[in-house]
Amino acid sequence: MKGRKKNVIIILLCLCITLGLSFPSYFWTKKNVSSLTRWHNSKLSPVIMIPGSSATENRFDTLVELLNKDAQQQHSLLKVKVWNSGKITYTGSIKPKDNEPFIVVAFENNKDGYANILKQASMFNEAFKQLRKRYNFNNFKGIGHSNGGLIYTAFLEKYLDNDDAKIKKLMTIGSPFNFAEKSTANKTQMLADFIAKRSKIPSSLTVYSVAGTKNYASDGLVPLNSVSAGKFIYQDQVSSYTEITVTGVNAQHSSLPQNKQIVTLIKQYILDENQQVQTNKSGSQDPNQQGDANN
Amino acid sequence: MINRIVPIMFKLRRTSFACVTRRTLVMLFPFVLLGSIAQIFQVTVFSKNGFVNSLCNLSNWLPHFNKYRIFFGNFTSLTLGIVSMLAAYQAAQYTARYFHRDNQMAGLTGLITFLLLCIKPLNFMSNGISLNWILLGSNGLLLGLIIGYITGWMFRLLERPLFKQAMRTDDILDRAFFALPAIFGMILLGLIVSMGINFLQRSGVISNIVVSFETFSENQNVIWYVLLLGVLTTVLAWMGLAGPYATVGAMYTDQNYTDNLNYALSHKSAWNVPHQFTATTLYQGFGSFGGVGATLALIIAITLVSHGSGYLRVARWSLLPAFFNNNSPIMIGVPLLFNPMYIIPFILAPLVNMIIAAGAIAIHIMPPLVYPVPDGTPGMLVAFIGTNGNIMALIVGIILLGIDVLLYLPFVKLAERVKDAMKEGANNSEGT
Repeated sequence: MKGRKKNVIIILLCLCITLGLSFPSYFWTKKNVSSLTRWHNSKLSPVIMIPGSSATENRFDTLVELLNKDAQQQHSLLKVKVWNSGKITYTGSIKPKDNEPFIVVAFENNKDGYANILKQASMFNEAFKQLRKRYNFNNFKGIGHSNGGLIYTAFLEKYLDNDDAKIKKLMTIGSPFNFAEKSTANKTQMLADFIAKRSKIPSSLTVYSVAGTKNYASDGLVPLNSVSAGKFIYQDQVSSYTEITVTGVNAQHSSLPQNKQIVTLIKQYILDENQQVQTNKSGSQDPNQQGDANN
Repeated sequence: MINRIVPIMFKLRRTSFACVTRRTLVMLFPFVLLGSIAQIFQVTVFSKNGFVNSLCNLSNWLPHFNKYRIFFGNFTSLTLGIVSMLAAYQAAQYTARYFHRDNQMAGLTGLITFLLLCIKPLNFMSNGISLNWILLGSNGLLLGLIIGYITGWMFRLLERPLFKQAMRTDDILDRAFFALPAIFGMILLGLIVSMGINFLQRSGVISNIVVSFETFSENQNVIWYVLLLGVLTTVLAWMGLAGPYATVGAMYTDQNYTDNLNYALSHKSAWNVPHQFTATTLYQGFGSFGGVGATLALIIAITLVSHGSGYLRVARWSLLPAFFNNNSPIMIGVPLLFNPMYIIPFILAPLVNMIIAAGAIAIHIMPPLVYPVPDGTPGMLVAFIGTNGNIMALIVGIILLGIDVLLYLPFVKLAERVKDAMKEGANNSEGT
């Protein structure tokens, strides 16, 4: 029959083309695998968050909820708690197919003070090593609220280079790099130490330091100048350092993590853009972007 | 045995739902075919990780590369992407016609009712209605058909039968008023169900179910679970739903895949990765030649034994999409959806493939598939590329395709016999 003959010819043609394509495919995969081996980049790229002093692992719940609202791809939330005994416990889980989960690392010892921040940085390092083993990621992004940003700084200077995971971006939110000092002329011990060891911070990093202002000088707790002191540590050391000031409603220190502008900033600067599913989309991404965030 | 099956199939095919389904699907075929071909261009040719683009670096020298992708993407969205909505319209129309009711009014009512169910929970950020596009596409086919069928029934219950064809405007107005109770009933039903769904969604029930299901599929590293979920995927695909492993173009990746890839990259070999039998190594590589259900084999089987020019033509047109693992045209053209005739090989072929592939991996004939594969790679080449060009993976794939064809052959023959019986039945009834 004529129809059958046509089908047979087309099928044979397709099979031949496929077999023919196997040659370029062979070279492509060889090249791809060898370049992957060289620059072995895991698809999984979590956002690891550290809350500030006297906050628990639930500190970022509202933030994550806001980030997931209207997002095409839902990010999962894993909470890690490091106990003083060194024990590490997990709540929540990372969903399959989620390449950008949020991981919150909190500490039983969540007290303020330089000595404690150094302790927390070392505890964070333990949790980080365990997370690396469990989830096999080799790059990540960091968010630190308040003292969390200081813990991150200490971690980057003291521990990270032992490890082969790469931090791509770091956002500190209202982090008092000079504690409660209003003037940068008086450098605290911590700031002096951070500046002394700044060369240890990976130079490929991009840093955003977000400050809140309730009045002209502070967010109600942390002086604006103390947040700005971050520039002495990061500027000219990392590939890009940006300071962003947020004002208005919810710009007060402890409500910063659920501030609408900050949620938008995180979406814009910290999250990977390629997370969106490229099939049919109905969604608007985030319609109310930019505008009042940067001043 | 076969003589007993033929009359059963024959009877099944004559139920009203089967008739409506078959006719609806046939009407959708051209849209699905064009949409699928556009989707191949979108995923395979004009996407950054696409197969053709990976091989020839189109994006480097072709101007407006992204615009082509958007063009084909839009085309796909408005054909393949709204196929369930079209199905609701057609199914309502055919059901109403089957019961001698106003079919055009029923069709429009079915369409609107279906759209009501697709409304996303109202969102204060955006203005206007936002629709759930996933449901409008092929994943909502079952829902679309059921809505259409219920609409037809509603017209049967609430509308007086039509005796004459409406010709003048007055007659059409009469028709409109006849249909009013049925339209009202259907839209009310749609709104209530839609509100119910939204309530469940807002309270998190649905997403919790989905998450626990995904986590379940994730945590299992045992071959039996992979096989089970593969079977589940094919069964759901047979019903027009997306199963756990169903992906369009892109690879199915999970934590096991990431672990394997990291292991293989740091040890520079794919042979001893920690998870040998996963969704990627078995299902993605060997369980889906020609899309879910290994439909490429069915196309070859039809070519070998079918003697009706209709099936041969459908097979011919579905071949190109099936080569790129897009089974929508053949699913709708034969149709395979809800077709009891083909459910056995449809489930069995992927299962056999996965078991044999697992065996081949276990006795070290070939390494597991661990490396990245471009989007929209032809099914035959997925395992070859994913094993970094292991020739045995390609050969195993070709052998498996042959086995699948043998699995499908008896069922194609059976389908031919049922079709002949139908034809005879039709001739006899016409004769008397």
